[in-house]
Parts: sequence; C-alpha cells; structure tokens
Amino acid sequence: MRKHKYRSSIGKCVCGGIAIIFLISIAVTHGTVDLLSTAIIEKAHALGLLAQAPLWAIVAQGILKFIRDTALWLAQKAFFGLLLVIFIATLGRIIVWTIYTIFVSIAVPLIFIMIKIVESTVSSANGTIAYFLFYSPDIQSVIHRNIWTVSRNAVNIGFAAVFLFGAIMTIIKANKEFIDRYALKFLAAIILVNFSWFIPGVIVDAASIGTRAIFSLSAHVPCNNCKAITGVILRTLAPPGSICPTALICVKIDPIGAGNPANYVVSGLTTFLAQILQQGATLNPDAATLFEPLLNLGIFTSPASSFTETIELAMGLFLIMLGTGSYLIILAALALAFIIRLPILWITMGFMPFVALGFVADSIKPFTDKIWKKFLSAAFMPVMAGIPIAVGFIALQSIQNAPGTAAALNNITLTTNGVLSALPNFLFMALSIIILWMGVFAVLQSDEYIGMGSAAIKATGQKLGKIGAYGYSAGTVALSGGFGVAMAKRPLQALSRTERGKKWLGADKINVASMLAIPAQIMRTRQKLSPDQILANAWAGKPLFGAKTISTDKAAAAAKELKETNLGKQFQQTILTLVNKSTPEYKEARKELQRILDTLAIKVGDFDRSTSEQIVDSVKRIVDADTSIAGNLPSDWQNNLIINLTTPAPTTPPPPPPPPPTTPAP
Amino acid sequence: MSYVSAVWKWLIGIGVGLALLRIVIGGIEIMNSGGNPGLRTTAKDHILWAIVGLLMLIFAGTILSTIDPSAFGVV
Repeated sequence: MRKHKYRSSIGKCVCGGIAIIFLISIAVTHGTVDLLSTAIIEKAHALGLLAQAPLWAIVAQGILKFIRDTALWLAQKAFFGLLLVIFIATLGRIIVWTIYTIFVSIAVPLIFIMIKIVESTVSSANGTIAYFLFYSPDIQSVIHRNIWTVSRNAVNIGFAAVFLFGAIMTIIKANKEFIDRYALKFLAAIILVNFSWFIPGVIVDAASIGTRAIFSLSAHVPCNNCKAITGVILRTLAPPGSICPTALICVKIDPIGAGNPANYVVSGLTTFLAQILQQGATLNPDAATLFEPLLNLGIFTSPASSFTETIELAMGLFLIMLGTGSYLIILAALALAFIIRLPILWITMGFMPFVALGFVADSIKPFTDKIWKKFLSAAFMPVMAGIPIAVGFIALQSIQNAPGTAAALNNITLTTNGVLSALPNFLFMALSIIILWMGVFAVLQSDEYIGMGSAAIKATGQKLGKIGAYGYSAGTVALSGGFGVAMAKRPLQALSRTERGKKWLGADKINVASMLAIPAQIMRTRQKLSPDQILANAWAGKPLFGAKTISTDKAAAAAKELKETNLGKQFQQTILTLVNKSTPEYKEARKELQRILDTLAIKVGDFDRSTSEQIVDSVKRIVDADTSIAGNLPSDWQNNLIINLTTPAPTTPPPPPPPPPTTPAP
Repeated sequence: MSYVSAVWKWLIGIGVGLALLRIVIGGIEIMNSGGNPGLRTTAKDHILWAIVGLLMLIFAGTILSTIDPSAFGVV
C-alpha cells in the first residue's frame, strides 16, 4: 500500500513536471512571453501569495490550446465528433448559460440571506437574531424561570435529602463522620448551584466582548473604498450602478464602514464575491452572442472556433458557480451553526445547576462535564470562528492594499478575454474561501451536535472541491499525455459499452470507439501496416485492424480517402480497367490488382458476390464523384466488374502441341 | 411538589423526634454515669451530635422552604 502511494506520488510529480514544461513551451510559442517576464515574476514572488499567478495564466493558455486541439481533432476525425463540436458550439452554449443563470440567480439571494443570518447571530446587539432569541431580558427571564429555576430546585431537593440523611446518621451515630466527609463539598456545591445562573452569564458576556474585540481587529487595517453586497434585486428593478451577474438578478454594492465590526468583517469577505459577480456580469453573453451560432447554423463555417469560445465561457461560468457555491456552503454552515448555538445555550444554561453539582459529585461528573463543554463551545463559538475570519480578512486586505499588488495584477496581461482576465480575482476569492473554510469548519467540528448539523454541508463542499481537483487532474493528464486523444478516448469507450452507444456508433459492426480513440498512427505502428494498406483493406471491405467486419459506409469513407493516395489511384485505375474484359489492358490490370491484394492475402478470383457488390458500390461512389470517369465506362460495367472479380483467373492456355513430325514424302 | 412536601414533613418530624429522643437518652446517660468520666463524655457527645443533627434538619427545612414556602405551612 505504501509502495503504491509512493508510486502514485512519483507518477503525479512526473506528470506535473511534464505538464509544466509543456505549458511553458506553449506560453513561449504562443506569444505570451510577457507572462514570464522577470519583472512580473519578481513582483509576484515578492507578494508571496501571488507567486503562482503567472503559472496559472500559463496553465490557462495551455488549457485553451488543448480545447482548440480537441475541437479540431474531434471535428476532423469523426462524424459524431463533428456533431458534438457543433452541438457544444450552438446548443451547448445556451445550456451552459441556462444552468449558470438558474444556479447563480438562486445562490446569490441565498448567500445574501446567509450573510444576514450570520451577521445577526454573531452579534449580541439589540435588534439581532441572537438578541431576539437569547440575549433579550424576556428570553433570559423565560430560560431562568422555566428551566434554570426548576433545575436548581431539583438539585436543592437533593441537597435537602442528603442533609436529612446526614442529620439522621449524625443523630444516630453521634459522631462527626458525615460532617468531616461531606461538609466542605456540600458547602461548595450549595454556593455553586445557587450561583449557577450568574457564572455562565458572566462567561456569555465575556464571549460577546471577546467576539467584538476579535472582529474589531479588522478596523486597524485601512480599507480603501471597501464595498459589500447590500441587497439583491430583480434585474428589471435594478438601479444604475448595480452588478447584474445574470439576466434575472442584480446585486447592490455599497461602501461599508467599520461601525459594526462583525458586520464589517462578514460583509467585507463578500467583497471578493462581489468582484466575482462583476466578472459574471462581464462574461454573461447578450442574446445576440448567445444565439448567434444557432441562428446562423446554415452558414456555420467555424464550429471549432465557436466550440472553443463556448468552452471558455463554460470555464468562466463554472468558476463563478464554484465560487458562489463555496460561499453559499460555508455561509450556510456558519449560519446553521450560529443558529444551533442559541438553543444549545438555552439548554446548557438551564441545566447549569446540575453542572455545578457535578463539580463536587464525582459520580455524575462524566455527564455534567459534557454539558459544561457544550456550553463553553457554544458561548465562545463566535470568538473561535472570528479569529480565522478576522485574521484572514486582515491578511487579504493588507495584501490588496499593498502598493505592489495592483501593479502586479495589472501587469498580468493575458491574450484572451473572459475567464483568463479574471484569474487574479479568482485567486483572491479562492484565498478568502480557503480562510473561511478552514477556520469555520475547524471551529464547527469542536462540537459534535453542531458538527452533525454542518457535516452534510461540509461533505457537499468537499465534493465541490473534488470536482475542482478532478478538473485539475484531467487537465494535467490531458496536457501531458497527448491533447484530445486521452480526453476523447474515455467517453467514447464508455459510450461504446452501452447499448445505445453501440447503436449510435455502429459498434455492432466495427469497434468505432477504438478507431476514434486510438489514432491511426498508433494502430499502424502496432499492426505494421502502411496508411495505403489500411485504406486498401477498407476498400476491400475487410477488417481494418483486427477480426472485425467493416461496414460499407466505413469502406466508402476509406475509399474516398484512398483516391488521394498513390496506391489508391492505382487501385482505382485497375478496377476500372477490369470492368471491361475486352480491353487489351485487362490482363495487366488483373495482375496489378492481384499484386495490390497480395498484401492482404486475398485473391482476385476469391471474392464472393457480396464482397464484390461492396466494391462495385465503392467504385460507383468514385464514379459519381468523378464525372470524367463515367464517360469511359460501358453501361453494364457493374455486372462486368462483379463477374471479373468473382471469376478465377484464366489459366494460361497450354501451348499447342507441337505438330507431329512429318516424314517428308519420298 | 405536594408529594415531596408530604413526605418531607414526615421525614423531618421523624428526624426531630429522633434528635429529641437522643437528647433525652443523653441526659439519662449523664445521670446514670455515676461520676465515670468516660461514660459522661460519651453521653455529652450523644447530646452534642443530636443537637448538630437537629441544626442540620433545620437547615434542610430552610432549603426546602426556600424552594417551596408552602412545604412547612409557612405561607
């Protein structure tokens, strides 16, 4: 197992190394040398966090090159590949846009709601959810009267029972054994139990002060023109200046101040989301661009180009969806945890008299300790969550405000628009998401009940992360392993294994998937066949690469290509000559055909009628395509050709017997 | 709570009765000690701890009356 892990790691390193070398070569050859300029890299490295930005840009260039190559490869090599390219370039663009519009239009309002919930549950100020559900005097009074007082009374009844028992034992035994043994603990327990409302109250207040102090740290960092999402509105009602990432919704962006530290930080983190939505607004195509390839399908001349544009658009929209989804998941987990925290505080504070009793009674300590720990984790949760969030926010703001950052980001010139120009913003967004993710889930995991609530959300987030990781791996493998071949191979092979796929691909007649997936170059190497031999094989309706039967259509397609090769032209001429047995060239033509077919171990006379008809059909296609040939053919050439192909070669007539020696007449 | 109050009244009553009985017995023991210091000290201890027990019963009663003032007919 360990060995396997090492091997896998080495493999990844090698692949990664090859990919990087390859990407750099692409960057150099495609004129994006400015990305590799020493000045840019030095600035990027000086900033530390931006060290990978140029490499990212190079990777993006490599990915685009890969997409273009894949599109061309698919379009040129296979009929269904061409259909796929056209589909992606036309309807695919609309499908991607529709998915993006629906997802972002739902996710962004939800994010806004989650932000408001988090803001309102992290703060104890009047008017917040936390105040309404926990900190207000009314709620405190209800918890105190209905839970805590009942608990305290129950514990006090226990105390009285113990006292009564102790009194009777003392009276009967007439010694101080009971008092010596329990008096001190008893006194401590009575004090703790009856002050068990006051002590946790002090702790909760301390946690609130700590939360505010932690979030206030962010106010020490100057925030130049800091803005946050302050509202989500329908596009039709959006005021000027709104950011509209989709055709349905817009977000309202307003400056934020440091008046309320918690709101300031939580909202401040959405600044990066706002930047991403701005990219969405830029990428979001208008109706004319969106439907142009579909409406102009009749004059569609560059499907590969539109394919690339669609994939690039899909990449950008996917990144926006990934970022939006990540924000939603994290904020939902945070909101859920902060809401669950409130009933946990009710219950733990309500049962605090038992916890106080547990401090002096060892027998119930294991149970009461759990309540105590849950109380502490719930009380200090905003503080614990606030530390990574506030520190991360400060770090990001510091980097963004650094004098060199803007210059470094502006200097990352990219050759294409859209997603590539947004990479630096994605870098910051990724960092902000990582900060939130690591900090928040580390805190949430500290409590099993809250952890349970957020586990499903975390699992979803991890799946989202895996999608990104798979995308990266696929890109690396494909880039280092041979462009579109590796990528096209798997789906086609998978498709060929299904019944419907076999029907579509004609896989019942020939392993089309393997033809498409494995380039002819490889097959030629393995089978040691020349290109002409492969085409001739197809022409003859015989297996191309193995014991499979080629279909007529594939033979015709191969024959079409055959026309363009020397051997093919020769073959064509020979067949046409064979049509008319009466021509003087017939004998030579038959010899030539036999020579060609010898490479395939087929004898001319061995063709059965069915195979001959296939050949005739193929020749007919050639004749139809080349009208100059048709004029030279007799009307019954098809029957003649079948007869000639199925008739064994005429044996050379034996030389006439020498005339008997004649005796000269005397 | 009414069940608890009912039981408590009996228990406290029994406790107080025991304490008083113990004090009376202690007094009788002192009278019968006949100048024996050991027996006299033991009898004094019995009375002392009976009084302590009685105080503990009062304290328990205080706790209970705090929880439920009607437990002993205070209210």
